[in-house]
Amino acid sequence: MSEFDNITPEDLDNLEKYAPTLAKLGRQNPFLVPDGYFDALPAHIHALLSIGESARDRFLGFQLPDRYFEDMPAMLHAMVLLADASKNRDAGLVVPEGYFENLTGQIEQLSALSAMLDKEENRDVPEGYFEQLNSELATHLALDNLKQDKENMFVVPAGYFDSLASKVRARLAMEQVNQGSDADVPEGYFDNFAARLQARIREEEKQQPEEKQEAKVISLFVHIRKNVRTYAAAASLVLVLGIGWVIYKTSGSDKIGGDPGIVKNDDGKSGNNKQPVIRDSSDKKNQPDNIAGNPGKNPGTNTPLVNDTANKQPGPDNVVNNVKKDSANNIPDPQYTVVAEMPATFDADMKAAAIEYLAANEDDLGDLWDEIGGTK
Amino acid sequence: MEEPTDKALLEQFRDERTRNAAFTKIIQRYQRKLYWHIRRMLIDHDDTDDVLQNVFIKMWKGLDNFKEDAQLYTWLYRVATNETLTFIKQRKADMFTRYGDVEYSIESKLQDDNYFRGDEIQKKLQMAIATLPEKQRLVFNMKYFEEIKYEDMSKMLDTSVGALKASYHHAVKKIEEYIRNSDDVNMKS
Repeated sequence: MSEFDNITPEDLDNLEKYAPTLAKLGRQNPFLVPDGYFDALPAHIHALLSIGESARDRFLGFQLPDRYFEDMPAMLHAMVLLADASKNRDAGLVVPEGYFENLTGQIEQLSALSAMLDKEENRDVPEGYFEQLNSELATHLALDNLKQDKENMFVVPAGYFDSLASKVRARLAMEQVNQGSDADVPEGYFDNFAARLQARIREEEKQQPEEKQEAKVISLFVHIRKNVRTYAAAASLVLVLGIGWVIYKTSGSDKIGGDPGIVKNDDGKSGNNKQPVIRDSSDKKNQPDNIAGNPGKNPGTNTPLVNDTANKQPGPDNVVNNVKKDSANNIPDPQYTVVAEMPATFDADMKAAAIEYLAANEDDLGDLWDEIGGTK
Repeated sequence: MEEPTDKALLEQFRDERTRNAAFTKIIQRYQRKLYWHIRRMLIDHDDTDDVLQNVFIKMWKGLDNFKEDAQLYTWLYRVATNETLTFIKQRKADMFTRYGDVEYSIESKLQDDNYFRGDEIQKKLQMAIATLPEKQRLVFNMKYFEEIKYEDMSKMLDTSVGALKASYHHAVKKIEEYIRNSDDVNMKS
């Protein structure tokens, strides 16, 4: 029993006894309601219900199937079982070995049997067909096996099919190239090529028969005969100069100074010793190039020769330079002597030699012979 | 013209032709009582409106299964009370989720309500009521403002009359103390 069980409602209503402060406050309603709220509330509730009984529901617009949540555990359990079963769905099923390899053949056989059955139904089977069927099938099988064996007898080179494509492409490229070259040749060009070639050869033989014969033997004098006038002029010039030089020498050969014939004696002595010096054409130190060419160089050693007292070998260079020095001083150098004192029979010898040469080459130098007025 | 009884309205509601009219009359008959019953608990008008609409929609859905051995009035109050307590519980959970330790406060609602016209004394009383536990607050409001009998209240709340008396007694004591303390503070200040 609580202390309130003996309290009557009237006692509790007597707030002045239990709560005098609260009793003074009164029971006024301090809250306000928007104007027309209660008037509009029924229509508002009807509107909500007309939109849908679940309009205020949290699943607004969505509906669930009946007993969705009730059946969900059982459905999930079933789905789990199905998932496990799907993982092992192939475990209990075994396919005979080679089944899929032979499947096509089996289907073909079944199709053939089906066709035969259809024919049987249509009563189109020839008489005695089924009696001969086994033997015919055996024959077909044997022929097929034989065909396969024959095909297997041929051997393809290793890598043949790997390189086949590239070979074909290369051949096609070659054919295209050949087709392109044929396009550059006039049509029918090669048909009469041999005949045209032979005709041209014959024509050229007719036009140049002698040249072809001469081409077999080549004579050296032919070249000389063609240029005989040139050689003759050169020889005449040499001869005239030589004669003039001899005449000049014979007329005043005692002078020293300004005479290009002065050379240094081998023994270094000077004086009136007019001993002739015969130049050796094989002596390279006396090469004609040094006469007008490199005046200060030794052609062999490429060293200067002027005033080279150590080099006692005389040369035209030294002759010219030293002569100029001596000419400047206008004093004859006793180291130099006259060396070009020609013999009295020089002209006759030269002329005789020239005539002898011309006589020997009479055929080739006929014109020159006439020019110099020689007699045979 | 006499108003139809609740029994007559229930019969009209079961008839498809008179269902809407009967439903409208039921709403019109109990909307104010239910509204103030909810409003005194939630203080805020908009919250009260939401809960009241839910109460009538539930009535529409469950009225076919209503047993006539109970009064419609008692059944509607029970539905409204349960909806109100559920709403408060949800708001507390939402406030805790959003703002952590900030609790759903009836006092704050009272401070911000635009539809409160009471003076400082009335506001003080409402503040005192707001400090009560929900069950005591409910019993105090039903007894103090709505003047519902303990027997009817016992049916509505499915609680014994003695427990209701005790709740009411404790509620009155707390409110008296709250007002006295606040008056002392005001007089001292």
